[in-house]
Amino acid sequence: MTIARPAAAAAPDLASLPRLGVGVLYVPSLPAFLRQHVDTLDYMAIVPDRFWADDGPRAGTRFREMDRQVELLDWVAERKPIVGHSVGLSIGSADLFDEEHVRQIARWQARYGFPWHSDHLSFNRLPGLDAHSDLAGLAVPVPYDHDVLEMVAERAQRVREIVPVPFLLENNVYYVDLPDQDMSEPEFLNALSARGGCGLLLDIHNVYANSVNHGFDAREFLRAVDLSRVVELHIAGGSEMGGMYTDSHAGPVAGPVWDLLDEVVAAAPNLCAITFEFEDGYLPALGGDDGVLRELERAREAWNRRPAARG
Amino acid sequence: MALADFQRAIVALAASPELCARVRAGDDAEGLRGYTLTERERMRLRDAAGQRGMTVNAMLYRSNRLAPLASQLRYTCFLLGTAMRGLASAYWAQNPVVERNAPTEVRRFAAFVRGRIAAGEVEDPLVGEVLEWEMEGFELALLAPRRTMDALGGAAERARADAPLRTHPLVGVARFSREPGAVLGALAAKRPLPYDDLLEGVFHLVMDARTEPRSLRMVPAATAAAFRALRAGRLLSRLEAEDLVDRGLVIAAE
Repeated sequence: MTIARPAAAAAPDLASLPRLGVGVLYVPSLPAFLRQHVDTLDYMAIVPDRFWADDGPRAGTRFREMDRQVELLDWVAERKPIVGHSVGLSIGSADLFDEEHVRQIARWQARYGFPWHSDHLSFNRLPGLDAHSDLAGLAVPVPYDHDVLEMVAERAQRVREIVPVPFLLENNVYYVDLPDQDMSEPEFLNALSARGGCGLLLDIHNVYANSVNHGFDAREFLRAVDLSRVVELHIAGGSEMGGMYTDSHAGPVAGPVWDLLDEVVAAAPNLCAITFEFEDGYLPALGGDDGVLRELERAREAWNRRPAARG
Repeated sequence: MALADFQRAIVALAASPELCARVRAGDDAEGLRGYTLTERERMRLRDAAGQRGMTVNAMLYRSNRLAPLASQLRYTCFLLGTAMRGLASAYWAQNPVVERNAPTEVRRFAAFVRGRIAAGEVEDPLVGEVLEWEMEGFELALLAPRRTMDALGGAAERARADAPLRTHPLVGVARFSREPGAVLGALAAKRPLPYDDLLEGVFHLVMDARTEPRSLRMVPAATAAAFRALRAGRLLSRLEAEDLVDRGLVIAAE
């Protein structure tokens, strides 16, 4: 008997995805903003894993929803599209691939109609730490090596078989620069999107932070990435820590990120969304709701300058 | 196994500045014993241990563990002040693995702090009071008001003093030894302890999550005691039950 591969394994047609516009990544300090300003958003991005408590693969009932947050999410979902940006897959973990987690994402994709979903090109879980938890306590980028590429590409294919919408992986911020890697980061991203069939979530602030910390030209980096695979952009701000510039999401978008954003928007034909990220607790540093509105407005200016918008 | 061990080792370097220092000093044979590594991976770890970025990773490792606690128990952590650093280290030494269930982590840390308070290691009684206040708020924040009310049906309206009762799930009570409004105002203004100038007494504050935003009101000591007794599963007198029903703090237990 021949078993046909599920349709989702075919390379996704990124060009047919809905062009959503400008949104924000949900944090717990946002409810009041959302109740008052939801119409300023074209969509809301969420970290689905933050809407449930996960008791781990060995638990009888593994995923228990946090009702209060879900109630607000339902309210937003009645008004705006929702996009999922998970942190729990840990696609780079060498000896773990959590299909249960992917199936939970698939349930939420069906429930909220994510037009695509994403996760990070890193690992943050280490199986065997103890009987209950495998959280590493830190997200660490994968080495850009050929064997890692094969592993992640295969897993990305599997994710695409389970969740029937395009799957994006986000480029990393890294503070430790591993020597002697087989590929540069853009080479790895391009090869991964080609082999794994995934799209890219390009975090421009991560690129900027890496360029500051490791002394390369962010524009050159962006020119080396296949921008036709980019579906969503993340923009954010950062701060100084331990002598390095960190992706702390501490307040407004970093100035140079706006310039990079304008360049990427002009060159990414399948771009569907620009998401502003800020860390919970930094709403006052942003200037409250007005500050969020300012960042969204500036992001919308960039969005409106994309070639398709200009006709 | 090499990649898996490399990943364990690089996280161990971030989690343990001591291990990182040993590897940086060239003692990787001993420091990385127990990890099956290729020569390239060993070289990468040696190189990583010497980078400034590993110090940042170590700081991020600590702040990632602290962030959920500091965001849910913001005022408690603030009041603990400089003691928080040592307390967090002791807590992590006791619980080296990150708890995957965020509410469980907050409850586990709260229990740890309660233990330290009970052991007399935290002197100001306000720390414990604010901790209990924040934990009441934390548990209420996990419930969705509308869904919870829908699930209760008419249980609140059916509450009668002569029938079995239970505390309303959207209500919490906390005790303060100084005027709570002033305490919460001082905390909001990030004023450090002591709060000796604030009005002293015994105050019981009800946090009611049936409304958005939550409403706060004072109740008599007897009401608060009855509420806590019922929550703990003890039987109430008729008078106590009537008081809780009249104040809308209970529902019919069906």
